[in-house]
Amino acid sequence: MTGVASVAAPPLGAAAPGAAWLARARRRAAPWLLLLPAATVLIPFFLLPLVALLRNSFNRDDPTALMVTDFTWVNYAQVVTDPLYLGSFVNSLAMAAAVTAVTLVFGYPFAYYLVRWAGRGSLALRWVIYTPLIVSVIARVFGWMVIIADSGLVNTALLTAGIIDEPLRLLFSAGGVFLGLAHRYFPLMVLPIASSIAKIDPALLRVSAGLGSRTVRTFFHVVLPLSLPGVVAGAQLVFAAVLSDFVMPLLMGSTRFRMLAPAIFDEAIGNVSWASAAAMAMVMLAVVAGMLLVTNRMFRLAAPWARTL
Amino acid sequence: MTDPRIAATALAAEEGNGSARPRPVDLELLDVSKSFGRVQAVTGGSLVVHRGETLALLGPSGCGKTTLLNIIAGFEYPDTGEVRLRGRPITTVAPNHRDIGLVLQHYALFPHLTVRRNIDYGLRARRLPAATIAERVGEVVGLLKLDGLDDRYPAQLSGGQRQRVAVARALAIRPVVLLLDEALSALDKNLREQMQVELSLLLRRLEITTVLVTHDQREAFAMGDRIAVMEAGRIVQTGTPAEVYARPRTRFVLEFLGSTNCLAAEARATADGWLEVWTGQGLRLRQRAGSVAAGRARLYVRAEDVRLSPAPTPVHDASPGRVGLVTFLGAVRRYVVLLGGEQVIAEVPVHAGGDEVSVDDLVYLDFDPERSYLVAGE
Amino acid sequence: MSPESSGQAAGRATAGALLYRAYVVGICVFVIAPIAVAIVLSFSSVSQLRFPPPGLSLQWYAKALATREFVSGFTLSVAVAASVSAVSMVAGTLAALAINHHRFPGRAVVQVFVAMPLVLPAVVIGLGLLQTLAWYGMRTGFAAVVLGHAVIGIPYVTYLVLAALANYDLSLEHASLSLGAGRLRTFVQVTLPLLRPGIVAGGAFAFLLSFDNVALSLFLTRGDTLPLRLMQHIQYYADPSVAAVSTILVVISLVVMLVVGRTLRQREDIRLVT
Repeated sequence: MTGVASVAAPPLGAAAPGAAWLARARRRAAPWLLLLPAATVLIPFFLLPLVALLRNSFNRDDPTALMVTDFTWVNYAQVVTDPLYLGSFVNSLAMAAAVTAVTLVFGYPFAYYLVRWAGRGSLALRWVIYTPLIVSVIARVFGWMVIIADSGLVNTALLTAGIIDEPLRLLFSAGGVFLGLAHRYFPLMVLPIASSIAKIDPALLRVSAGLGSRTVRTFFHVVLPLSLPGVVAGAQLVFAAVLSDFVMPLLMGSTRFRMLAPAIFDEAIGNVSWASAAAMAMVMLAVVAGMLLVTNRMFRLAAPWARTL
Repeated sequence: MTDPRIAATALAAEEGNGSARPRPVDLELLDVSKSFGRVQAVTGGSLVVHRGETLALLGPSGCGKTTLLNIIAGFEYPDTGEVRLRGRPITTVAPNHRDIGLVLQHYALFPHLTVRRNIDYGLRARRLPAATIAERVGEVVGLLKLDGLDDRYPAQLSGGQRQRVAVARALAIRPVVLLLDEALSALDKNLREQMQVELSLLLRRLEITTVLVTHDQREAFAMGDRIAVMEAGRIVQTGTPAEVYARPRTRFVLEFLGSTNCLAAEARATADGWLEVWTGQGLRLRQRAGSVAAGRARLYVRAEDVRLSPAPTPVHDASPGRVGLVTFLGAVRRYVVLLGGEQVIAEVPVHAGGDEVSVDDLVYLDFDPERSYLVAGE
Repeated sequence: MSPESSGQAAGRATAGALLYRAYVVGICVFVIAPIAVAIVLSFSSVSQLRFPPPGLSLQWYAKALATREFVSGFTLSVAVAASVSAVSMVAGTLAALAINHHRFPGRAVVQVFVAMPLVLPAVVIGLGLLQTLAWYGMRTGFAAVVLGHAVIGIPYVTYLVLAALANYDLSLEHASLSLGAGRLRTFVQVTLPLLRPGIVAGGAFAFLLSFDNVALSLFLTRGDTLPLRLMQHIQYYADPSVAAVSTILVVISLVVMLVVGRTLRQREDIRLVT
């Protein structure tokens, strides 16, 4: 075997160690310097509060003092056992699941239309779909109130049509909250799905047709699997958002259907029980984070060939 | 007889071969190495580029040529070794202080600036007086034939125009060394070859020292005064195109350049001090013993050196081969001859004359042993 | 959107296609309905929330503009939102550059950390802030609410700028450096102009999010931002003056998005397509 005859070696050039080290140090410091402004906001006003909450969740609430420093699991136990707290958890989870399912079922066809059919109308559609995101929450709540109130649009229409005899209790009930949340987070489901569908290489569809697959088959075998990253992303976002939502249940909910975020607020501000509020918050955090991790893992197992959004 | 210089060869043939007087050195790389984590991108890279010369760094993707270019330009600092520009060490000098012009594969024209602003960008950064700037811009615009395009934006230009703006921008600052990183590979074939000629003429006229990085052998040969072939992070051979092509020093260089046939062979020593080489397909030749040991070997012949003959030839007198494929390529005809389980490719100029050879013909191979290479080992 | 996209070629007049379109229109109605209702009601001539309103009038706008709580809430919210937008644009852009341009140990962690405020419940963040403000010697008020909103605004800007950076050709910076421009000049003359659409979009989003924020503001203010004032008003009175203010807010939001859209489109014209 031939070897590589070495080039007549010139004297080993000295890499000036000092200058190189300085240059390297400056390069290594650069990203941290750039992150400094964001860190000065996020660390004291995001990370540390979370840490404080964690610590406080082990304290004890005292009717006389504000919060007594301690280390007890009593608050967590209360979250799991007390029917009031447990109830708000279950309600929130159920609501999140329902809204996610409904927005997915109704949102996917809309997203598909937006990407593949709309053509020139796609800009207008996009504007429509952005409105719940950028329009003030108060405006939306106000509008919903008028629509679903006992004497509101929906009930008046149904009553005059004779479908019902008595007005449906939509406002200040779980149903009203559901509508408000589904409306608010519909774009959050549509946009990732649309983005994912748009990323599908049109060549794949042409190849599929060329190989003899009809539109429906192409859809189920090519489009649907390839849009899965968007579906998962949308579902995660909507689920987490509904679980955490505060304004809708507060304004349009009822005392009979308590949800988690307002419950935490009540606990902290109304009952001034900071420790148990902190515990509830921690549990909520754990659920959201856990949901994200689990769905990510499941997704990666189910579709290892997919790239996440 | 074959004259294999594949085994160790004196280095004297390479550096500055043929030139009588020494020219000043503009760029030097001394034993440069760079690794990224566990990947050793470049090892022991040493180069000398003389004033006015164009050096082509040629190698397959991943061979480290782009890393070497980045080290010259200053976007990477080597782990060991030195970079010198006109004798001045610039190994760790920031890229904006290096006076090096850069033309990248996709040109990297500033999309939000007009052509004029792109070209004078470097001059403004140097805070040259407005009159000088205008003069220099006018100069390169003329040289690169960009008149009238001043106020256009890159998105409004054709590929060839963008390429010329990129070159103009780099030349405007009158760099000591010009670096071209696959600068022509985004153009289509005819335009590319035209630009190769135009650029070569321009660089020669302006006497600009240039380092050109490419994976395209034709481009390297077309534009390079000297070639440096790289493999897996090392520079394995430098020399003029003719030297590197005719006297490859490693098997990699031999296989990388040109279209080369490779046949398994056996070398046997004879009583009178010669080596007889037999291939499994019945080819046979003799060479002086000594440079390659007896035993298993590989015989290399370039496709353009192989001829076909209806009758047995000095190198091929056992059973003939059969023509499997005939392809007309414009200037040459390529024949794929099936011989003893192997394929041998022969490229014969269309106007070489001789009889027409068709598929399924039985032919004998003929080549000059002097134009073949023997490499010991498997 | 290839012309061969499965739908259009199939013939638009088929029943299936019509049904699909009707479906999409229905969804659009659902999405627009509450907003449209609020806008229409703001012009109602009566104070009952009856739809459709019996007559049209501008009285509620007059009343809203005369209500002191609304006006002071509006000015405060604008001030807060503008500050949040500014802080978020600076911090978010720099953070995006750090993540995009540099490979450093812990980069993945930083990316996740910056995304977290967007996913975690606002109520949790608000509660945490409530319990830690005292550590910094701060109380509910302007500074607290700006910094609290910035916690949400910065990740938004960071991710929008990162999206813009995905289309950003890093070799442009190399070209600039090789031509002799220093890092600062490169940043100002090359990076910023090309990232401006992403930064502006991020800043606009941060502004709107802060302006509309309820959950964090409840913990960090004394109820004096506009959304909170509106909430109080809804809970006590139910008259269309809230609708009037809401309509004004809707118009502001739409105008902001239009302006952002225009800046984004300007860039597209002169962007180099490689």
